[in-house]
Amino acid sequence: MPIKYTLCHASTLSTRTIARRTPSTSRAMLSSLAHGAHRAYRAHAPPSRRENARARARTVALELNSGRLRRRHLPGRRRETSVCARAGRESDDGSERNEQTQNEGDDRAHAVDWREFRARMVAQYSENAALGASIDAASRDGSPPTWAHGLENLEKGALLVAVEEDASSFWSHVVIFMLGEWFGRRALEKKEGGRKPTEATTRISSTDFCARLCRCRSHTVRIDWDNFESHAIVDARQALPGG
Amino acid sequence: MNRTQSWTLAKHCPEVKHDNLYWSLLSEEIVGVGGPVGLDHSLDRSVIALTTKEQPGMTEEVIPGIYRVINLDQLAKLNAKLSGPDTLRPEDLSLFVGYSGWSPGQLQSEIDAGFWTLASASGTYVRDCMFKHVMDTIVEPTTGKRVPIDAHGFQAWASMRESLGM
Repeated sequence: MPIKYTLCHASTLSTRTIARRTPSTSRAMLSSLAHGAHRAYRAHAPPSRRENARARARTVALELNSGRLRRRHLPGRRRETSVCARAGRESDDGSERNEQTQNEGDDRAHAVDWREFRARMVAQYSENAALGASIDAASRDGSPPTWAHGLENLEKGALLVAVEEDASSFWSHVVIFMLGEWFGRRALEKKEGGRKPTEATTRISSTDFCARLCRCRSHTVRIDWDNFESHAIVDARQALPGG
Repeated sequence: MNRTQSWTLAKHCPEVKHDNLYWSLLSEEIVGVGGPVGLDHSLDRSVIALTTKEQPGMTEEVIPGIYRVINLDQLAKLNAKLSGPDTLRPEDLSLFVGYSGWSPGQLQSEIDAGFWTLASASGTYVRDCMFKHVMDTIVEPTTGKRVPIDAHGFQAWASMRESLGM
């Protein structure tokens, strides 16, 4: 089967997707429309772009022959301008899926840890010399980075560092690693009798959490969900250590 | 939390089952204190296991490099029969009994009032600061028992404050 190399655009790819789900009569029509659009694009494209397209196609052909062909894309611009190679007019669904899975694996492998990226930004724009030095050292040596910087907002994985230095207090010299909001919820669900999460518990809000916390603590009061706010919050603060 | 006691899991949680080899090994591990909630009473006891190794399907990532065991009981049942490079061994886990919890808005108000400083740290930093310093033990010569090197977590706290320029 002859191998055809084309520069595919978003419109073409989406047309092909639609074509797979439509009857064969419509498929032929859509296919001809797509190829017509390609011809029109190539005819009206400026000469420099046509040259670039030819050069790109040649590169793809060489890469395909050497067995190094991969679909190339930029994150977030996946369907905009990607170069793909197709065997014949209809691409093989299985091979395309395999190729896509491989690409997703590559993306994950090369994914930049956004927290590290943020740390680099903080190091660049703050006066924390130690932070910059530790990040630079890690980049140089290839060792795992050991950095820490201040945060503005709470997030999963954040650290709470106690300011208090009064040794008599339980909370002095404390560093707490924030696992997330969910853990307390799960523990409460378990305590309530192993009840499976219902619609009400899965779509839990902060006020729901507070009300359920009170219910767990008291075991007697059924909170009126519409009018619990002020009482519930006060009760929860009294119930929780550190409150 | 950067606190520990010289207690093993078995002493903290007498209700821990010993019908499983994995649990038996775990029960001899020194455990940290996660906070005052779910600490004392056996009915609502909370045991959290953190690790720096990933076991697919049994752990979830908190931050890159730090994982939480989703279900410790399930992990113990599975890993009692398994062995391999991806299998978490009892010594790979850092156990914490109890947890710290706040009502909605309470923590934010405490932060606003200046009781806490918020920080973000790399997985390696958290491992060294929170697990290694806190969970490391030495054998006390007089009693022959394992005791934590820095039970109060002062080293972790001081190191964190220094890194934050405080």
